[in-house]
Amino acid sequence: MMRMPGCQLELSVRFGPTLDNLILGADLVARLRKEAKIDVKTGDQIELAVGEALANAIKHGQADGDEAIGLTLVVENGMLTVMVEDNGIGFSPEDVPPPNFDEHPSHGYGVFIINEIMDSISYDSRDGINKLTMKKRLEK
Amino acid sequence: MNEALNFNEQTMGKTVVLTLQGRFDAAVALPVKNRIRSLAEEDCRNIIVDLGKVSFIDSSGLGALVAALRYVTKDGGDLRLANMTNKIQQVFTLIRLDKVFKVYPDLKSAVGSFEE
Repeated sequence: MMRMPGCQLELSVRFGPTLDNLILGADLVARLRKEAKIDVKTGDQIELAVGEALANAIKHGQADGDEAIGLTLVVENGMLTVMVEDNGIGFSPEDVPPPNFDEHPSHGYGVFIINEIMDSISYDSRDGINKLTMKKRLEK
Repeated sequence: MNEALNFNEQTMGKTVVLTLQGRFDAAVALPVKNRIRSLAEEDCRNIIVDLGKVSFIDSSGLGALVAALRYVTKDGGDLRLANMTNKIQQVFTLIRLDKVFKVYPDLKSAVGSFEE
């Protein structure tokens, strides 16, 4: 864990791009829930959104290396900021069409879920690093 | 610490119950889907997935169940769900899959539904 000046809480982890490592992200979210005293419902939502973002980065990004995927969780002044980084080909959420709920497809829900849960998301790709930033206001 | 998924099976009459325990995420979606497909290929038509001990499910886990449901039902079988917790139910509802599956509050009623 690292604390930045003026920051109430910051947690981060890096790992290789394999789906087995999703559990490392889940463990970090579990620490966040405990240390930031996040209520159960909101914590469950954050766990889901972070899991979807990490799974997308691992499955679709073609990232490479033991530290190719980065997850950072910051709580500052009641705002949670989640940053998911990868060094792959990139995966812009804006390019993903919404699911066709009439057909109940077996995939393609991840970005929809993130948008439903988080207050805002943004995506940036530069110098070989793709970064998905998601924000959510935490209830007091 | 979060718990990786374990699953085991038991046969109750003509019904196979697949009990999942732990995190049902993208890391384990494919083996679960493949196991259910194998059961269908072995002519198991009545399949129940017990979600009572699932601590977390993501869209890949749900997608695996949707794909498995399609595979099982095309030969006249069915895949039904039991013991869904509120946490898991909320994810089903979020992506509007709560109407796609037959869901039972406990294993007994799920098994009984196949005997009606």
